[in-house]
Amino acid sequence: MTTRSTYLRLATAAVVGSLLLGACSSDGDSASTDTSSGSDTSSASSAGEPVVGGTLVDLQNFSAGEPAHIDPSLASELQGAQIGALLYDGLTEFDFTDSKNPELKGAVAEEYAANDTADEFTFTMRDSVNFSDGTPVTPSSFKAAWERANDPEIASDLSYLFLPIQGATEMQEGDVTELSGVVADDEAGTLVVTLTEPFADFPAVVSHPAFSPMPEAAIAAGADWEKDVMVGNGPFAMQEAFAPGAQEIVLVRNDDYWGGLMGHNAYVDEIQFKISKDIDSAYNDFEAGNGQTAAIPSGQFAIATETYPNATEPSLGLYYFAFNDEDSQVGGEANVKLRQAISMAIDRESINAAVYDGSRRMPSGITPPGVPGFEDGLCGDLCSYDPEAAKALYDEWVADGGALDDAISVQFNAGAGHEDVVNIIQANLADNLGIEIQADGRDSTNYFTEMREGQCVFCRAGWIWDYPVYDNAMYALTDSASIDGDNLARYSNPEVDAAIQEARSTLDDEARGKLYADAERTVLQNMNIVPLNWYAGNIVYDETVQNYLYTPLQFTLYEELWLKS
Amino acid sequence: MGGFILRRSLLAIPVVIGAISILFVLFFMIPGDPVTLISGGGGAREVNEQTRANIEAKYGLDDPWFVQYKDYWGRTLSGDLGVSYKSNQSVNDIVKQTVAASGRLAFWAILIEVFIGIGAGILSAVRRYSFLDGLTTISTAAVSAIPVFVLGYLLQRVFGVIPAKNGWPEWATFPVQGIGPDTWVLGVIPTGDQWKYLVLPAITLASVSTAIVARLTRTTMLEVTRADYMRTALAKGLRERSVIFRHGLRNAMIPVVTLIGIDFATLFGSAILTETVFNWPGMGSELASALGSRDVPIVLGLTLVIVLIYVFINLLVDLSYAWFDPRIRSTIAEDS
Repeated sequence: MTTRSTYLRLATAAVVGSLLLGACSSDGDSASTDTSSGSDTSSASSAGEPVVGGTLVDLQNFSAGEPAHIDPSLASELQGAQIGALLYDGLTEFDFTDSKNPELKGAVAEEYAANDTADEFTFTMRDSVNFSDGTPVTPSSFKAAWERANDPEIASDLSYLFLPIQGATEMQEGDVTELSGVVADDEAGTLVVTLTEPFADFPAVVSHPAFSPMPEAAIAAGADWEKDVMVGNGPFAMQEAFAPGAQEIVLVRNDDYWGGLMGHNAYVDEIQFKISKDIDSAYNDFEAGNGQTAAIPSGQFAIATETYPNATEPSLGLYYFAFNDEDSQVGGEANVKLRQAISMAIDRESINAAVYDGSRRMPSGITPPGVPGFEDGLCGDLCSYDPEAAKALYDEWVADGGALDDAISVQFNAGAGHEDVVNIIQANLADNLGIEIQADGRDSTNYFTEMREGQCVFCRAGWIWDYPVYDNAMYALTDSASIDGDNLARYSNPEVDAAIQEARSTLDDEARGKLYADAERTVLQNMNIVPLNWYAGNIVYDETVQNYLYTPLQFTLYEELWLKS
Repeated sequence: MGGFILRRSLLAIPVVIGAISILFVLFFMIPGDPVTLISGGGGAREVNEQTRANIEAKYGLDDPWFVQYKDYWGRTLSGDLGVSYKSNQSVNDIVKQTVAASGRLAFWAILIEVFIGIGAGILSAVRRYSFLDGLTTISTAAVSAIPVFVLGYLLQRVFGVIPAKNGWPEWATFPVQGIGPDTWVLGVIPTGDQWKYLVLPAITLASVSTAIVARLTRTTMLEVTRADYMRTALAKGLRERSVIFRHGLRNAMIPVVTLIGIDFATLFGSAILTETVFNWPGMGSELASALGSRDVPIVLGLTLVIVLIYVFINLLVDLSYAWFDPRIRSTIAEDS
């Protein structure tokens, strides 16, 4: 009797066990899924004529939680800003048709012009652009909206974008209630903006959703505007207000749209942005056929991009480590060769494969393609993996009198996946140079505050461009004025500062780009900023979606896509 | 009996005060800057000085901790749980929205736990060493070992993704995440499409607890069935079923009911994971995101509600002892 029971129990265990295992492994074979074009991007392969109509169920934008804000003046996170970008059109907009060479064009402003000293800009409004409720978009709509964003009561996290405008600093400190540098002439249809300093790229700055125009109801509502139905002038409109805790945000096509850069209204009737809490669940939902777009969870990049059409083009984001130039161990002119050696000893490809599943792009410098003025190869050989050259440089540094008494301390914010990167770097440096490093993981909430204070020795950081403007990263990361701010490397080079200032006053696009690129080359030679990879898109969609365009700023142009009928 | 209830209810007050005070202190000790959060930062951007001063004045964050503590209790006792740092929404509203959803999920999870768990336990005990017993033993061990979120993910793939990819019939396909149309009868019974959304999360949430309840019931029933009075009842000619349910089960239930009461708190803990995985808009997922963003008012408000619910459930459990065991009933009657 006992023997029989034992066999029965073992058999039961085997059955139950195999059922569980079977459930795990059977999702590898996707029997009836359409295995369309592999990792090719979608834009060129859009089939046929646009079809008007249909509802898009989007699981991609809010795949990991509810947005904090969807008001474009308040939304500093990408997911919330995406909604703002669909509801509002600003003075200017970038045309990403050739994503490596984006072109700034007038949107609501038909044309714009700078004065000779690049500190005063005049925007001339297009006729008959209206909000979706019929009220006209006037220069005052912009001025009032910008003043609202600068209101210290509202305390927008995006208010730093307005600082170049005269009067913005005073307004944010609460001393004045008007932006003295902005003059709106509704009769003539012009908006004249005076800056505190020359800044030739200013027309690009106003393409950011924070500079959207607002109707009067928004001005009256202040920070509570996003609790109502937000009325805008963009290709889509809201039908119902967004209630926090809701499971979706629904946008409908704005049939009174002025046409936009491409000269047409949106094609789909409606977009339902589903709000998920967990990116893996959202992806499961997509695979179950309950949505048409999804973000790729970590570890699934290879399979997802093989199975579905995808948007994985490079975006304007940089993942890097900074050497503190003021640190005696690794910083300063004496240690240039050490830093260069370390950069060449890091195997960026293996980090990309191991940690990011191959989804990131290899950097040739700080600034990625897609920023006007981009030049390939600014880093030269210093960003490639060359252990022999690295060892040679390191030996030279030692011969010059360099010595490492202690392990180099490496800072990063814990719990966000950077541990794996640091481990690989640790192995690379130990194997190739015989250098020891000490991992110093910090709490996420305070990490950047501490790094800005100067606690960085060799610290991990990232930069996502606010708009495709060379100055954006150069000023924030390399200008001496940004020390104690985003210049975590505490890099100070009067030549680079001067180049940035000169570039800001240069109106000719090519000349300006050249100035920034040369400055970047200088910065990279000094190796205080060690680029590790460039971000790339991470989105899949199903075969009913046509013409899915994903910009380098990580926005999706929902107004350009249509659904196969 | 009334006195007993009153005394146990009063015990709730120090429990609530203690729990909230501990949380309050923890939040002050943990590094982290609510101002950065409120201003929408928390990343690579520096907070403007004036913005910081405005926010601190508005939320009273520049007051010393005992002043903030006093203010908090003053507000709470008048029914105002505060306002979320992140979204500026009233915490009272958040609680109202999420309690209903969590409550429904917990209700069905407990039903599953009680009926399937206790049922399986009884069957196991009564048919000891049979195939059914073996099956129950192994599957409960397996299920209680699988982490809740892994089980949730597996169920999503098996009942959501695989049916879609292989064209299974409608009745075998379940939604992967979310909560369906808001149609409930009697507050807890789903109608229309809603019930399909409920199945997978409820099973996931109940899984570990059901396994443990089944094991415990089996053990206590085995103890009870060996007691003398059970043998006497059978000898007297009572049917086996009557003996088990009327005589045996009531005695076996006390440890099990205790477990279910304690488990209610665990249910809320597991609920954070289940609700996140299945995108169920309950207190658990709200608590998880508020914790991640250091949104203190929401965390304190939801914890207060959870502590209150937990204290109430345990009061019911204590009262149920009286119902199960007449010996305890008379002890209570003597005391009150």
